[in-house]
Amino acid sequence: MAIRTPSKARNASFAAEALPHLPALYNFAVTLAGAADAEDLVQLTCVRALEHFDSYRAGTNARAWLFTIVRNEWVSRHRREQRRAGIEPGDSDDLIAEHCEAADLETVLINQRWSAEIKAALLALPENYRLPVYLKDVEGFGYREIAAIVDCPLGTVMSRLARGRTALRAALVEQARERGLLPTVPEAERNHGV
Amino acid sequence: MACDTIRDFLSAYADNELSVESAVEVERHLQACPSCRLLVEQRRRFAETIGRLYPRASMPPALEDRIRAAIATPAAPRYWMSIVALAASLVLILAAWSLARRGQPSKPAAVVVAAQTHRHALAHELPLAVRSSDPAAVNAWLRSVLPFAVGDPVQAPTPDLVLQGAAVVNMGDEPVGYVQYGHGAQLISLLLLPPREWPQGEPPARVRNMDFHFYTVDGLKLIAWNHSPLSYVLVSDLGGRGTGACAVCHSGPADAALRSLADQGLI
Repeated sequence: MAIRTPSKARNASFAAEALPHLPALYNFAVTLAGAADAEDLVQLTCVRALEHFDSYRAGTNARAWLFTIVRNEWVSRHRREQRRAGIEPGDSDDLIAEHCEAADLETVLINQRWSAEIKAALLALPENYRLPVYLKDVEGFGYREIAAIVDCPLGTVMSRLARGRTALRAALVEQARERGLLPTVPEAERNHGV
Repeated sequence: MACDTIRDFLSAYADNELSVESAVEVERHLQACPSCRLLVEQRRRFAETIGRLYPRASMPPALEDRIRAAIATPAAPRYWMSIVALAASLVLILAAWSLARRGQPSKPAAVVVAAQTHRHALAHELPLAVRSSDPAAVNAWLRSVLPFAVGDPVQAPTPDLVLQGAAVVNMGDEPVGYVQYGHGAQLISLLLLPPREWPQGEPPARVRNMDFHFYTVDGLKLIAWNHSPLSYVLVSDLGGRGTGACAVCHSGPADAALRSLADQGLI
């Protein structure tokens, strides 16, 4: 139970490693827990990270290490809340993501500056898909790093990322069609997909 | 290889994340399949567009300030202390800084530290110095180790609770009592502190001339009150406002009405 009091040098080392990543940690916390709980989550992450800083190997990937702690803290709290609500944490691999091809979607996204729409659609994805897509496409992590952060096999990351992107794209295509920014697809063609 | 099979790998191929062998297989297919080539290009464009347009939230400046202040705090002039004390110190600083920065009512530091202590107990990082289900034995031990008047704070809980033991934890440099109860697979923590004032936030519930203050920290339910000669903080992750944990002190028939009020969420 007894550990060394963190020295100034240790705290300074922690600050140098961790502080540059605070904005990214905060954004990831928003993606995980929502804006209302993100601050608490980042604070708890810093407490945990400082406690376990001795186990961190200097010069390794601090960003991935911190993201892993954020995610672990959130899972710990999330599972506790699920237990309290009588919900067992489960896998939500039941997303049915149809291939939804619309060649001009990216042009629409860029021309219409659909930042808010992209964020809303991504946050609406089930967690199993939301995290890989966010970690890869927004934060630029590699598949192995994502596997470590979300604690699942590499192959699972690969499939969830592919399905998550397809679902995200489908949601955005649907919105664009509803707003008349993309042509609607005849029923028969939609059923066949591409 | 058929398009349906290849398409499972196109995202990973577009990300340059396939093994060399798999990438060669995909490329062989792409050379003969314009439709899949188009999909790869589309996958790349879509991922790039998401990364480019996704709006990054600005971190609240106060949050960064609080964390920077906590990390910059010089070490205490002691060579070791408990994990609880380390975490408590950090959380105390965060709480105090939060109050100063925001200029609005904040949770009392003792409440924040109590929540952190409970989390350590949940993580099995808080060993009990005395293990006993006998309230008299635990009271005697607490009186022998705490440097302030204690009385007989631990009472027999209701039958569904098990008194597990006690420890001393540090709140900053101040030792305080910690009593642990089991409730099935759940834990309930009771902290015993020298008397203090509880800031007004949510209106307290007044029962038997005692004010009970309710707080929530990181999903944990905390109830703080004073009863001479101590102040108490009760921590649990029970439902509602956590009043189910009141059973640690209210087992006798005289408390049936109080428990009933708690069960109904009226206190």
